[in-house]
Amino acid sequence: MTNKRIPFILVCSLLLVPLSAFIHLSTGEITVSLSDFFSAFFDFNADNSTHILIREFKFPRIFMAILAGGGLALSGMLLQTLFNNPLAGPYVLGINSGASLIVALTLMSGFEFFGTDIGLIGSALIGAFLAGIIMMAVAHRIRSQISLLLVGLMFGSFTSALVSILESISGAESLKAFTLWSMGSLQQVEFSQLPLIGFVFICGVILSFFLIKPLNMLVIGERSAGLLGLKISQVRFLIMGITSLLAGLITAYCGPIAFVGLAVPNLTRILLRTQNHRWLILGNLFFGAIFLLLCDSIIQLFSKQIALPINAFTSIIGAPFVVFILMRKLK
Amino acid sequence: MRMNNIKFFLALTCIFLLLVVSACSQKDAQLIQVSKSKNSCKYSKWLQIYEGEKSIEIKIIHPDHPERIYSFSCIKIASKNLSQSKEYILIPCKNIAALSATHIGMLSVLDAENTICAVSDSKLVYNPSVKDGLQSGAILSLGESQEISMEALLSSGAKTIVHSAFSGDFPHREQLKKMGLTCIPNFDWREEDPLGKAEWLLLFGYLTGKEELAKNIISEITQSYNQILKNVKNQSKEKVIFGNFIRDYWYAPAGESYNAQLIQDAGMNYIYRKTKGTGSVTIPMENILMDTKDVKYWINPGFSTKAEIVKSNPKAKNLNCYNNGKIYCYSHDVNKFWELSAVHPHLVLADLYSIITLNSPKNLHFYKELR
Repeated sequence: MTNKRIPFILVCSLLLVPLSAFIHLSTGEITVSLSDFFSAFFDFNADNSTHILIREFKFPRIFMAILAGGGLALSGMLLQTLFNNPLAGPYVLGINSGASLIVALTLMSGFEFFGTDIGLIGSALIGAFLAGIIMMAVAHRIRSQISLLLVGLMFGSFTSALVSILESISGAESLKAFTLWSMGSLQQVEFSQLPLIGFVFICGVILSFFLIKPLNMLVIGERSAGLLGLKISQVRFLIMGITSLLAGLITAYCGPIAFVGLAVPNLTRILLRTQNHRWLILGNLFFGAIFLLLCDSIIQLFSKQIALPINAFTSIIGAPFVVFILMRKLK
Repeated sequence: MRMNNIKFFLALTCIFLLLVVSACSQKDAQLIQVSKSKNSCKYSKWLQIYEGEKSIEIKIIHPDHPERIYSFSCIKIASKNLSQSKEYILIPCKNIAALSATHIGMLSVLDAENTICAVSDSKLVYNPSVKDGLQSGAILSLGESQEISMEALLSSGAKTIVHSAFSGDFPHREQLKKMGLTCIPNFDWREEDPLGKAEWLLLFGYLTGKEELAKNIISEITQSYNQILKNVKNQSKEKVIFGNFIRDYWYAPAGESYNAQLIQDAGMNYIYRKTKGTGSVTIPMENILMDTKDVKYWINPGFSTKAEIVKSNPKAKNLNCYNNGKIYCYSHDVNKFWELSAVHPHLVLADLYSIITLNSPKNLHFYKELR
């Protein structure tokens, strides 16, 4: 019975992804027909404003919402399994903050290279990875899940303070560049950048599928998994590498997006009621994509009334969800 | 005995009433005296200046709370018998803390830079003599305008502080008043009429004792401005867009703003001229692409080269005005613009008029075409 229920939910959620994308497409200020949408790709005319609108504005935004939602949810799930903590996530554990710090350092250094795609991805990835390593070292000493969360938040505050100091001493141009980046956005990616982003994302997803077995073993606890022959340190390193790759990639292009990596994995567990990571990986990818597409659709819907950054909106939804999880745990 | 007491109290009450009535009539007479004199400001919405016989009354109205009026009496000779209820300014002011670029610009137009003893945001100063003063230490830098160093302010010897009041009253206003410092809010940035904004020059004119010079300059500016207005016969057919993206949204001057007034006066066909509001309008990214399909002029993107625009937001290269139009901005000399444009609206208007009417306008005062 359970075996059928999970695939059914996953198939439904898979179908909901294009449906959410369609909702996103139709909630924009300028609505386009599906025929226009497809002709913008298969019969592109550079002089046609509608084609440019679809190719350069609408499609990259939808594409990034799917990738960012799925990627952040997946990296959140990996962290939650690694730390055996449902409150773990790239934002809460300071992974995004680490990426932000290194991006701030590199952007404000003024070197041209760091303004390029590779430079941006590289610096965000290094920052995310370093933050992950620090949090792993802390988690090794701290057993309390709440304490780890607090350390993560402190780490986030610490890096924010460093970023503020950097901002105060940087030049006007680099400060402007960093401030705009830190606002978070799904709309800054160009059509030509999508293949590279898509490629890195797929690499991250494929690598995470190779970790299904070790992830399932980690659910019973590191010590027990070790007794069953799991090379814990190797698995930790791999999980942190994939998380940094996904969270770093998304942070580099979209800026920090809060709470998706925390809320969606918990929601997925509640809906699927399984600890099998084969299903959880797929579930997080689909639910994450749907969640961010719908969040961005709501932003689009009210864009004339209020200019809301995506990061602010996900926080509005995500923060109460974290409180809900905490309440459940305390009960 | 009781009757005498009643008579005594009645007499006392009558004397008291008479005193009150006479005091009120004196106060009324004073008010009438001031209100009978003509307001020197014709265009400004938030500044009123009345020249009385003994003093000059400056009234500054808070744009968000019009019932709140900051009143100052400018006097030339200090006296010990001044009313405690009023705020007095001894003119001409010798030590002014000018906390905005436009204040420095207005004082420089009056050739009164020597009255400046402190400035904020010293990195953004354009005026050469103020820069020299900062370098020599004659003028103190107070840090950023939002985080003024109070210790530096007090050590600068400033007696008059002119501030933009972005976030309400100047910090510690009452304490500073007790120490003999006067904080004057300047709401020139809230004026919707370009000439109204320029009229704040009169405030600095009266403060520095150069009111006649200030009046003459305002008169010349008004004449030049109106002369250009006469030349603008019809609205240009070419469409114009102002502003730029800030992350996901385009911010453009709203239809009733100061900038929109200048744009309209220059005869430009501004695409958002019918929007409501005196600040800015926020346009989603998608709309901009469609709205600017046939826009030929892009003004004030906030950068000095086309490469910088694209670096800031790559989507800009999809706009027709970026590819096939002309882009103008003042960013190559941004400090000059912020310091002098408010007091020279006729020059800004002349620039905008030249941009829209001439093919390759030369000798623009503030603007430059982006390459």
